[in-house]
Amino acid sequence: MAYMTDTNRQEMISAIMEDPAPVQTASPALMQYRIRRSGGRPLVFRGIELGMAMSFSPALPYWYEINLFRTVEQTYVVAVKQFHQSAETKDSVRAWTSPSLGEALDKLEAYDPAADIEIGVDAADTGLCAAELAAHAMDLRARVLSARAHFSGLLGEFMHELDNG
Amino acid sequence: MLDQTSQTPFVIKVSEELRHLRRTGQWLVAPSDSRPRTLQPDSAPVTDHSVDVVTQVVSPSSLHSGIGVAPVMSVLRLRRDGRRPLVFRGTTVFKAVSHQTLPDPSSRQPRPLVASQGFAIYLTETGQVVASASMELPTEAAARPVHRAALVTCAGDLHRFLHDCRPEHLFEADHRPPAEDADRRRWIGSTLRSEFERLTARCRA
Repeated sequence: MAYMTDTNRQEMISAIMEDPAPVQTASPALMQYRIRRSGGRPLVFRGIELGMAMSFSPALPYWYEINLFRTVEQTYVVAVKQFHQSAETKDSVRAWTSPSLGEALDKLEAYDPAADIEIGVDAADTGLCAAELAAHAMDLRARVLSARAHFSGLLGEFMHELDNG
Repeated sequence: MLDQTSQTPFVIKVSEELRHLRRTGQWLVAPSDSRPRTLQPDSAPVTDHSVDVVTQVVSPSSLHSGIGVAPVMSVLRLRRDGRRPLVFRGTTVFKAVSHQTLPDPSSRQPRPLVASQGFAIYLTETGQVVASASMELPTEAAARPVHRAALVTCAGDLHRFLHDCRPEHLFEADHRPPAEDADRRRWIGSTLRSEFERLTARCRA
């Protein structure tokens, strides 16, 4: 099965669920999900999607997608995905299971997008002068702040929409 | 079925089940910490904060003298980035909102630049002070809205809060060469910063 980065970009933008497969149950919304996780085993569960938020804009080099699911076991799954406009940059997916909705939202609030930022400089490269290293450090700091602002804006909007019921 | 509730600048979809959970549960209330006492969403009617008026003008230094006036308390819900909304019972002591439509200096952008900024200070029923600020550039696809709300315990807190609301947060770090928007973004940042300083001037004194 292809990884998300290998799939068609347009399909990826419009898709809000990963690998959903219909399950024969009384509830038509109940589906089988398989969320691939960066650096971990896929998270497989049966349930429904409760909500999603996406920050896609053609003007930005990357965007975030947040998904919230309820499983048939009455646990909650949240997924945070970072997609890049560039096909050369690998997308990242993180997902967690929580026993309650509140704890699932806690996971989102605690998520630090700085973990999604690539350092972009080879630490073993001893040919860099001090000024170059300083420039790389400033660039890294700016990208971390931007990613945090980007994600927190999306999460804040999602929470705001939920709060407005 | 997910209902789409928001189009710009984010796409938000919320299912009917989640709306039901929101109406019946306490899930939106975060565990208590140093923030003002939060209320259950059920008992907290939504308050509209988008009114373009200055409701009251009171500088932070005169907050204490105004406490004895017995202000009207209501449930306030403040949107904030990266967190659940801040919900508390209190009153607005200062609110200033600015909507600007400015000619865009860039020849590539024929549309005028629209900017909205807001700043407010609230007093909770327990005597705590809460500050909120927002910045939006709806005509800029690359600009993300900024919404901040925080408990303010001293003048230093307020100054840090105001410093944290820099217009630079509206834009992603731009790594696309050439930096064709650099001058324009600098101009936007400068324009927004002066307007925000004007809005908050009374509170900086």
